[in-house]
Amino acid sequence: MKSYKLKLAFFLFFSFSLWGQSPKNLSEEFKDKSFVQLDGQNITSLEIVDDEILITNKFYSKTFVNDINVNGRGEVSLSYEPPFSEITKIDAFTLIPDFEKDKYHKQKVRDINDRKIIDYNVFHDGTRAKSFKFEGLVKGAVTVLEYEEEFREPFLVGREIFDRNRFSKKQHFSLVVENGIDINIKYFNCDSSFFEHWIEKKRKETIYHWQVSNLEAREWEYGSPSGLYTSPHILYRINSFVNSKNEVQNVLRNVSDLHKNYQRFLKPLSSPNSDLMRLTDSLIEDIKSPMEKARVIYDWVNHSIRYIAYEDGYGGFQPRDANLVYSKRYGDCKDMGNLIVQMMQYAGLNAHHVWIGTRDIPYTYEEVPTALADNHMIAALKLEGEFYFLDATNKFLPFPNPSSFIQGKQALINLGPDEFLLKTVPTLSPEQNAEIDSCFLKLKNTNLVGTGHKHYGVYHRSSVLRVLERKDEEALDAFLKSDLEKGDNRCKTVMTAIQTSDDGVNLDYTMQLSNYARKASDKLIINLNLEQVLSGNNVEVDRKNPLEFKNTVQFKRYFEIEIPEGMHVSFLPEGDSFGHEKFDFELNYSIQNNKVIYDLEISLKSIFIMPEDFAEWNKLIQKLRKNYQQTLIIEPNEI
Amino acid sequence: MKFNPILLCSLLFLSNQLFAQDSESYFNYEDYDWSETEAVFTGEVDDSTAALILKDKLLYNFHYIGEDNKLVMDRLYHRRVYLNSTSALEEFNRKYIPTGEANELLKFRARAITGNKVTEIDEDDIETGLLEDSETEYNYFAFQGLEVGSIVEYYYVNRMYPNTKGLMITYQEEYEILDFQLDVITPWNLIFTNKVYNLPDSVITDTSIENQNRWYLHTATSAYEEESVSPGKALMGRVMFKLDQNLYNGASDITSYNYAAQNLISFITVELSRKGEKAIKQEAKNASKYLVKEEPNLSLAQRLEHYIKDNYSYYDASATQLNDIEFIQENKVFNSGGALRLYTRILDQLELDYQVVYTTNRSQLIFDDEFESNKFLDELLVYIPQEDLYFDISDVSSRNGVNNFNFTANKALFIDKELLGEDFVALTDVREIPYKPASFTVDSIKAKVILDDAFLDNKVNVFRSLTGYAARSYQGIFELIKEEDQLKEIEESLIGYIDSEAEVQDIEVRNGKAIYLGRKPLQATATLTNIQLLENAGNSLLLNVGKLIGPQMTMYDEDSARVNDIYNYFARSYYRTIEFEIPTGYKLLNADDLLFDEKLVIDGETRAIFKSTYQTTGNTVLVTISEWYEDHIYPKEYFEDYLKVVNAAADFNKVSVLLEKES
Repeated sequence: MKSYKLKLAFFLFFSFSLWGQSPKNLSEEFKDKSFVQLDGQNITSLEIVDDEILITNKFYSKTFVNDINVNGRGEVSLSYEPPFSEITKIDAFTLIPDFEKDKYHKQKVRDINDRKIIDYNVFHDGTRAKSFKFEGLVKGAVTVLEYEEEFREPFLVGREIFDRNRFSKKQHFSLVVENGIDINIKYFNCDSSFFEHWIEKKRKETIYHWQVSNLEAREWEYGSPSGLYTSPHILYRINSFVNSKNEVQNVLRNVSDLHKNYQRFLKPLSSPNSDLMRLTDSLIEDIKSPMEKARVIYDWVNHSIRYIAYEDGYGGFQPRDANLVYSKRYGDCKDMGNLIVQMMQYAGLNAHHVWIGTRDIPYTYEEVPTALADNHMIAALKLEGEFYFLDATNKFLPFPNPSSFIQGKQALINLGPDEFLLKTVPTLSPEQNAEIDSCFLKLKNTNLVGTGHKHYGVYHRSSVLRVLERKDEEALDAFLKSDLEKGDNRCKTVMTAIQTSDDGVNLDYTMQLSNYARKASDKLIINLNLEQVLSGNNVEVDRKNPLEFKNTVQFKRYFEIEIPEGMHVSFLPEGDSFGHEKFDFELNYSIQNNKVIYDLEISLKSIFIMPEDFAEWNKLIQKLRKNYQQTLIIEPNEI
Repeated sequence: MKFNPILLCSLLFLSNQLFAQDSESYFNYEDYDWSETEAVFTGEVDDSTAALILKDKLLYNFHYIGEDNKLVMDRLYHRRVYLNSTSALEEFNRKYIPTGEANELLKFRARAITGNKVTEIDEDDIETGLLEDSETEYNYFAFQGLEVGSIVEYYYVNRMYPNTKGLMITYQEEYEILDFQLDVITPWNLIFTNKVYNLPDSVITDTSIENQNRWYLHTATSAYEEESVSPGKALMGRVMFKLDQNLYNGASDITSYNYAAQNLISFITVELSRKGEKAIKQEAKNASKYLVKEEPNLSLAQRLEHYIKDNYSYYDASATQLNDIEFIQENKVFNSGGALRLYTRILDQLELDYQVVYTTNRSQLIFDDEFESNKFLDELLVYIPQEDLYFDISDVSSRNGVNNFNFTANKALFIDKELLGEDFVALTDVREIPYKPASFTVDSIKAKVILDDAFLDNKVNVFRSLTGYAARSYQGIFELIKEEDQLKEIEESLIGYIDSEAEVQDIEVRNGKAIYLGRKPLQATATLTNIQLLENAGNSLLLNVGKLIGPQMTMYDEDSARVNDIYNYFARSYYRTIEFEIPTGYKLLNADDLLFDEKLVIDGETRAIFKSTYQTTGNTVLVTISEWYEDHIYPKEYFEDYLKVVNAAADFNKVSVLLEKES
């Protein structure tokens, strides 16, 4: 049985020809879908060639297109990156429907261009693309594409993701492993029971098969984490292989092997030249405290080096020479990380290179000791037994905090050619990211006027500083308008002072909120929920994906209103609270002397809200919304 | 701008007529360079300025090359920018320079100047590649050693296909330009004319050069500040050049609407192959039968529009196949030229009168009927005079004359054809495509508030009806959306927009098809639940009546000094009624807060209004709100009045009435 299935898979791959489906059948079967993957296959072979591992992927996909907007389009770009990979043997054609005769005719792809593609985000990398166009693409057509991709770097493979951005009628993955190669397979967001899975042992190789049918398209929802958190996928890696001398050659058995592999990228790095030494000396001159020395070095790199990435070939892994980065004043993450390490080490500090994956990558190095576990490089500073993770790519990130997108991630710290340490980057507390807005207001007729003070915590300060650096008055006004607005959009605020510190930014402002108090007979009715934080953050009941925040946060709103002379509070709303391990709030109203005090504190204590938390999350939102509907009443004193 | 295959043809035709003259050139790119002495900037820059353009020099040198005396255009662009902020560093620290076949790069230098240190980009720093989805090749590089206070300077010369029919240079932008220099140089025989838009500058003719013509503009421009309710891009400072005469052969008025019209007529009346003719006949037949049973009242022209838009798709690309009737019919795809051929040939076949219309998108560029440049021949429409109907042939979501509103209140070139002997000749007329009145675009809401006895589970039944431009973005696209969830989301937004935090239940949409656009109103009914309609005020309740007109544009923070007139995108009306019951045991206070009456009156006539009234019948209160804006342009003198009307709607949106518990 197993053997039969295997043959069938190969038969389909190599001999697509006669095919029973007609345009009308397909259009009827998939009338509600724009695109359908009718058949998708990837046959990955791991072979030993010249005592190296050669990885070959043979891709095959057959897609039904059922959208009028595709008419005449059909451009395809297959990216690859020399010297790591190469794309060959492209065979592509369109099956063009003839609805009258209810059959397809085949139109082969003619020209395939090989070109260098510019990526604005990366600036320069080695990515090239083989591009072509499916001719005659119209609604109802089927595209068929086969090609091969070769890899020669085992540390960059391998992953197979099963759900696609379109409905998939069939998806098959085969891993053909030559005898002598020892592999490791791990499942993510699924287990083997998710698939039709079978293994076939042959004389020279073992073939692993996974197949799924009728898999719905991956659904993206607002605030979803990267697809790797939810998509069913398989990761395989090569532990070792037996070479021509019949010796076992280790590849990526564990983190230690990966760390060894990465040493080739650190070996050629040079230490500071006289210019860089002079700069470092000038920065740390007269500074005794190691922490302060580290701060000035980090600040200099953070402020002075612009992010421009050159990731051509191995340049994507190899930090550029620190002296060059210093003189050019630009670099990418690994360049800035290395510059920090070189400057700090020269300054006598205990600094190290660090590999890390941003939060888009859900794996630890222990789970996945390959390059698929990381996509970022930073520096680590060890001071008084503590590690600090320094990332100069994140402008305005105050020393010594890690960037928000690596919080909670495992870091691979390079302690030397044979020594490393795995350490989890801390997650900042909600208090460190507090967003605290306090207003001290008076009633003038129905207007609220007064002063305010807003504190933006560690990760929120950059939102203010980014606007300020633009030196664009209009942009600053627009930011302040939206960020400081209270009550409704008649609110006018004017910034009067700004102070920046390591733990955030503090803004002072004046505000005037016109016609806010509602007047009915002689009563003034005021809704003191001048900002209704999170009120629109209900999650849909059928939401599937977790909700991801950039960081934890605490929202504090403290509003004081002076009770006008001759008046008193005739109704004060009650406070309320809600508790949960990941989120909570507490709201208090009080009267002190002649002031009404509104004090709200909401904490989001976790970066992820999981589907099992959604019911409680919605309760929190509903409760907040109910409280946001409460008003206080001020009336004239009885004479 | 869209690719325009028709005008490109005419350009090729013209350039071959030109003839060379040997002469010593005013501009030789090989000799051009930056000034070493001017490298360092010693002036002062205000700290509040993010970046300052110290110099922008553009030079267009039209000249003949090679044995066949081909006319080419060498374009020099030389820029110096003072970087006075980190954001400017991010913006200017890299540069992409077009190169490749269509933009042969003749010369290029770039440098960063920091203090006295000058770092020039050398060849090793330059990468080459193509942008994704583009055929244009670029050289790109990053400037080195930049700090706040640095200057980036670069210049490059590209040799390109000559743009003689509408060379437009916009020389006002986000940053101030201290020194703007523009030169247009041509051989002795090619005489260009020009026109400056939106700034009081003028182009000077240099009479001192022999055998060549030179026109130049030397000025400084302030940063462009865009005002609200104004077509930002269309009002920026620009200059346009066009070839007017060829003294060698005596040709004059070379760039003219008549000339372009004749090219267009030649393009659409080109002889078709037998297969092509057959395809047209077949499609004319298909179009005339299209939806005959379902929609018997459609005119033949309307039927044609729906047939093509439901079966063909538009592709903004230059491939000549997309102009070819046979290919178009087989692949059901065309570009604007192909679309025009298909429509006009079928119209000919059906013996329906039509005119081809060229105009501009007025939010980008306002059509000029005096300075006849091909730059204004940017958007193609087909006009059916008998029905006063315009087809936007490249937009599937425009139907039955409800097209992009930016094509109205704008002049246009109307082109008709007449058979003279064996050839068709073009007949032209420039006139305005009329602005549609406020009654064309009506957005109505009928909302009925249902308060729960315990005031916990309140809801609002809403009926909304949209016509004209308000309906276009819905009716025009519903059928293009296959995914059910996505469609439902868009349908629900018709009612859900009133309160983004509320939930939409039982949505029902009527007339949600492109074929009904402009013919039947788009109607939706639904119930809004979980809506924050009430606030508690002790025992009493505040009912947020104003919320039910939905979020409103606010213009609370406008500067009172207005530079430009007020440009409405399109005339529109809003009619809303809100009905609610006063709950038993409560009385309604402050109902007069619901009364608004703001008008914009010009010469005794109301041109815009926001007015709300209410009436009480028993316990039922019915609030009626009318709002409309009639004109395309209100003179800036009326800005205060305009603000009052707009902000009245925004103020009404915040009104709540007190339902006081009776003791």
